[in-house]
Parts: sequence; structure tokens; C-alpha cells
Amino acid sequence: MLRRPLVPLLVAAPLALAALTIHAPPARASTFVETSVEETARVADAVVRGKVLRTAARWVGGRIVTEAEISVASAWKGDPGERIVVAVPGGRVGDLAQRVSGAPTFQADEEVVVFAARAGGGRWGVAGLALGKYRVEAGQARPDLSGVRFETRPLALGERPVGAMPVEELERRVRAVR
Amino acid sequence: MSRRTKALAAATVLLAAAPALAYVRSTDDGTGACFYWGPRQVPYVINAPGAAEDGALQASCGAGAAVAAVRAGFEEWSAQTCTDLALVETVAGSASTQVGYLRSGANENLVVFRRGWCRDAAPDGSGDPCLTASGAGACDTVHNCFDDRLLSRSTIALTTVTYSPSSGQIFDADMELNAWDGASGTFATTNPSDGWYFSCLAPLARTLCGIYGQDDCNAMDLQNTVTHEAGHFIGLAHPCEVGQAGNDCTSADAPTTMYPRANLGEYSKRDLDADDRQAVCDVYPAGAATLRCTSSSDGDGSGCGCGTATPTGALATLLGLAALAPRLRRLRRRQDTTTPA
Repeated sequence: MLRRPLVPLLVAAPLALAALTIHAPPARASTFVETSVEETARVADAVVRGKVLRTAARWVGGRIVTEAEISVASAWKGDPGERIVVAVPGGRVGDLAQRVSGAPTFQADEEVVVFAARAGGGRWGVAGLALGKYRVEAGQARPDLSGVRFETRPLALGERPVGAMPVEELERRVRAVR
Repeated sequence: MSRRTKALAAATVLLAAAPALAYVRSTDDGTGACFYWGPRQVPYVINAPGAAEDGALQASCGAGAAVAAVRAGFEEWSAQTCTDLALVETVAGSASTQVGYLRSGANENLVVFRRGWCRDAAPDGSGDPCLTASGAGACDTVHNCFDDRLLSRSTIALTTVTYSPSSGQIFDADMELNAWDGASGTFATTNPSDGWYFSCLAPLARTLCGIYGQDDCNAMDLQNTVTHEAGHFIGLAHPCEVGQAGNDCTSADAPTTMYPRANLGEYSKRDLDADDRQAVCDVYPAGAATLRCTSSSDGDGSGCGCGTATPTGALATLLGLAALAPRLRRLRRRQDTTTPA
């Protein structure tokens, strides 16, 4: 019996699946004013590069808040110590989830750059929400702006809008901020 | 691979990679379930007590104009004849300031005008009881300020959606508008010391405001902002992401209300674009079932792909499946013919 190889099927199937998924990014959204990396760094109390150790979500009143513990590899601004716990709105607790538009999300083992802001009582938040968290992969630092809507405005000369860039450039821009 | 299969597969790749004028639905990151409201009548309430009169908004938002702008932003979605989704203001005015979801007790879908920052209303070390409270006692609820400790001063408007991650069904949605505290302000800063300045002028060509407190000029157009946020309220996401390879925005996306950029003073997004209309028509079709998405755990999804109801995306999918069909038929015939009796 003639048996045709299954290779064409194996090629075409992922294509069809890709077409289904390419148009389905997860999304959250809020409206921010156009912001530069430098401006985000200025309002941050600390900027760190590190790795997410763990995350945990809980109810705080009617809000779900997720805390991410980060092991600090280097601090580009401030001195937050070897570990920092940042709280961000949104997350999942049991059979309920809360999506807060424009809030960043964290995953365990994720390498990140975080622009942290003191939230009082020894707590930390993320400055600029999604604008203040970058995922680092293969030398690139990339914020998740899928849920961000920008109200555009001119930025200061020489400053770069929040967006994907080499992690070295991100560090240089942060460290140059006074 | 036959020539026909190759051609179809190539077309699939090209179409899937091409910039698409395409609405996108919000989905749960874990399950992929698309957000949707169960009931077709979704109530909301507005808390805007004297917002303009108190100086938190431009004078153009006075005498009920702010509330009218919010209503218009919601009505723009439910006014489409192809849908029976009804976003209904059930109570004329609300005094509630509490955002979020109460697991026991009544909830309301709130649109609230925050005024100024919570760090200013209840400074660190002030001893204000709200600093250690949550829920009804939290600072944003007590002082109706924007929680700039948890959130961000660069935020102009923000929508919080509580939903089932398995099905995607929305249970509650609240919209916070981060309004001015009436003190001072300029558009030149990312994190203004006094909130954001909204205007409610009719869509006429006017100059842009330079500083807060100016009248007869366009600032952050309230209705423009609310119409966009109301899209998120009903479960829609942005059609693209600026600067994101593979999903970058194009000029074709720009006219949509759900486009992720807006210019200061813009009001064109008060009116839905064809893509926005298609979204609400597809997800909440008049007299027909809500378009749901398959999720990993609820098992009763309709099998649709979130955000695939787009001319380009759907065509790419169909072409991909068309390319597969002969293979699948052949595979099935082979299985049929080789199954032992």
C-alpha cells in the first residue's frame, strides 16, 4: 500500500493553528500618557534587574493583588536590597480573576527589569504599571504594552518612549537619569 | 507537499502575518477564554458628583455634561442595530466610590471620577486609618482619590474587570477616570501632581489646552476616553500593539475606537469604526447566542477562536483548514482502510 508521508500535514496543521492564535493576544487596557524610559526612571524609587522567584495573589477588599518576589541581580537605581516584593493589581484567586487594565503580570523564573515605587509601609509597587516592567530575553528588554493605550505627546529631546530595546540600552538610559 | 497545498499554506502564512484590520477580544492569560457578559442587559452607575463644578473637570463638563458624555460613550456600543447588548444606566447617579468585586454582597458596575491622588489625600505617616484598611475603608474609597500607591500617576483612565477565568464571563467591571484635583497642572508632565484634565466640548475644531483650567479648548476628551474604555468594559481589547513585531499597529487600525493611541484633544473615537461595530455585532448578535471561546476547562465553549472573526484572520484560518482538508480526508481514508476487521 502506498503511504504518503505525513510531513505536509505536519506543516499545514501548525499554520492553521498559528492563524487561530496570532489574532488572539491576551489583553488588558488602560489609557496612559505617552511616557519615556527616562521619565519612568525618574519617578521610580528603584530600578532593578532580577529574576522572579514566586508570585502569590490574594484579595484585598474588593481587589485582587498579586505580589511578586524578585531576586535582585543588580540595582540600576536605588538600593532596595537583595530581594524586593512588588505588588500589582489583578490576578487570580481560585475561580475568580481580576484584570486591571495596563497592569503588569509576573511569572516565576522570569527575568525582568522592574521600575519599583515605594508604596508606603515598606511595600513596593511598579512605577507606571505596565510601563515599568520589562521581560528580558536574549538580550532584549520588552514591556508588555498590549493593554496600554497612549495619549500621545512630545517627549523630551533624546528620550526614548517606553518600548522594546536591548537591555544594555535600557540600563544605560536608566543610569543616565538624574 | 502538492503545489496546491503549498500555495494554500503560503497564503495562510502571508495573510496571518499581514497587518489586519481586526478587532481582538480580551482573554484570560491562562485559559484563553474570551471575556463576555452573560446577560444582554448590563447595568452601570456613574459617580460624578459636581465634578465640573468642583473644578475637577473643564467647565464644558458642567451642568450634567460629564454624565452625558459617559452615557454617550456607553450608548455608542449598545446603539448598534445588529446587537441587543444594552448598557443601561440603572440609577441616576451613585455615591459609591468602591471599585472591585464583593464576593458576598451586591456589586455595581461603577464609573467613578477620582479627584487627585491618594498619596496627597492620605500621606504616608499621616495616621489616616485608610492607610491600613481595605475595601470600604481603603483610601481610594474613603477619599475618592486615585490610588497612586498601587496604580500609577501616568494613568488617565483604567478599567478593572472581575471574571471567571474558566469561562470568561464577566461579573463586574469598574471604570476609574483619573480627574484633576483643581489645584494646578500642565500637560507637559507624565505624572502630574494634580490628576488629569478632561474636557467635554462638542466636536468642533478648537485649540488644544496648554494648561489645566483653560476653557474653550480641547484637553482629554471625556467621551472619547469613555467610549474606548467601554469597549474594554464589554470585553474587547486593542486590535494591535504599538511597536510589537507581528502585531504592530498600522494606519488601517488607526480609525478604530479600540486603537491603542490617541492624540490630546482627539474626539473622533467617540464614534465606532466599522471594525468596532463588527466586534459588538459578532460577540453579542441581536437575537442570537453570545460568541464564546473554547477554554481549557469549561468544556462548553462554542469552539470559536478569540479574535478570529476578522476578514484577514478568518480567511487565513479557513485557508489553513482548506489546506489541511485533503490531507485529513486521505488520512481518514487510510485509517478506515487499514483498520483491522
